[in-house]
Amino acid sequence: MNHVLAQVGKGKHNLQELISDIKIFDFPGDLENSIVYDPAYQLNEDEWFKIECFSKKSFSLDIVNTEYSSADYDAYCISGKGDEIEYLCSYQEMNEEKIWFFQRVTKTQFLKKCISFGGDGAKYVEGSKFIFIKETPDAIVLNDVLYFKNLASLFCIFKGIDQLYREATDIEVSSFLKSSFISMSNDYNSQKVKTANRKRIALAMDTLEKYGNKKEEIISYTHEYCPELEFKDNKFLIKSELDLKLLLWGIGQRFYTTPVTNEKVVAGSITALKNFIGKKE
Amino acid sequence: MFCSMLQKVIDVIKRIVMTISSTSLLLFIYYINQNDDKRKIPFLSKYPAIVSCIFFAIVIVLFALVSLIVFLHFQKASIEGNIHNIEMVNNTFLPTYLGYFFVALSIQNLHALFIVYIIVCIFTYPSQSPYVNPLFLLFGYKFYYITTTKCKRVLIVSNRDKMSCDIIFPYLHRINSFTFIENCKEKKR
Repeated sequence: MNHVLAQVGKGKHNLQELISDIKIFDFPGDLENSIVYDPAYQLNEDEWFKIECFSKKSFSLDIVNTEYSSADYDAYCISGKGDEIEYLCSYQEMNEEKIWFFQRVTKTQFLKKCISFGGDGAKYVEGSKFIFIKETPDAIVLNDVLYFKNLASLFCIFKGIDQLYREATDIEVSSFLKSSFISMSNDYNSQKVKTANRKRIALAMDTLEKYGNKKEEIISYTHEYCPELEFKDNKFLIKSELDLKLLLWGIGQRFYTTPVTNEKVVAGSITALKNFIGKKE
Repeated sequence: MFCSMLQKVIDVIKRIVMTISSTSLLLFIYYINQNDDKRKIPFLSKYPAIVSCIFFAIVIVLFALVSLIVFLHFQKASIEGNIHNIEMVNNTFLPTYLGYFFVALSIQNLHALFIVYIIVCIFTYPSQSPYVNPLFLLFGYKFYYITTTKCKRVLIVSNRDKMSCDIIFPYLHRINSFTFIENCKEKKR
């Protein structure tokens, strides 16, 4: 029988049975187009990442490795709010296979206002609660293989899966931190670099390549905007995540001074101006 | 808020119905122990007392049947493995029901019956006993305890003929976290 489970509340494993004998996800037709996970690779629309021998990984969930038993779960009861559901988990038996589908439920997917269409026209419904079910689930587990498209959506479901991202980017991060203009303090090393900064490092390495000879200018520009970032013997001393973040912003040329108020600011996101100038009408 | 209140009310009603149904034997035994005049139900007074008795018995059996049918429409569930142990639940409730016989036979009047019955209900209500209703045996349902590999013991009410060691229950209905019911003859999807 098919079952839909919901993880209630963050933290400890607290799956509860939501509904049974219902199929909410369709089996995707393009699951054969799967490649082993590599953070540098950009997936095409009809491709999936895969991780094999899922049951042997540290972030695996026990539930997918054993037979399903309703005795292991309580029935879900709405105790006031329904929005404490972190993710949905749908166990479906299709074509003699037992497949687990996962979907992360964020606040935006938990709808409190809807327009519903019925026999007597459209109605505005407020106060009821609906969870939006995506066309494509965030993760699928089939035959001990985990399939997914976006690793970030799984951080909440499979605790510790961010380790994969870290492992994949370790070499890159270590070599960046050995650059000529960086010196590391004893408290901080490449193992402690978090996901956000790892992504910035990837971009920063590309940008540094393009600067070529202008590295010196970037270094003095960063030093000018971040006096609190220690600078000795032409090297920045990185003691924490924040120091690394400031340096990476500097490399991305994110700091600037507003022309009228003369205020020093940092740009959250940037794109080339020509991307905004549309086609000539 | 209303939904959770409603659900709690339904849970309470479920339990009350089950408690009355499984202790109704006590009422019946008291009733047939009375002498002829008291036994006749008002609208059956022109018939012999035995008719009233049969009528009362039918009401009790029907009450059990209705509660059984209602249970078979509860939320669906399944247990497809991880069963460590399975045993029949016969010995535990039999002494209790025999006890009802003796208690009911020694009650002298209606006041005593009322108080005794309320006390019995008070003890039966919060426990697992209401779901082990011997009247279900009349409909072919038997009671089994299964222990999962996670050492949790649940009660399964089922009308299966055979229970083997590697049994699985692919089509159940959930009564509560520790009780499930199965009808083998139900039309499955």
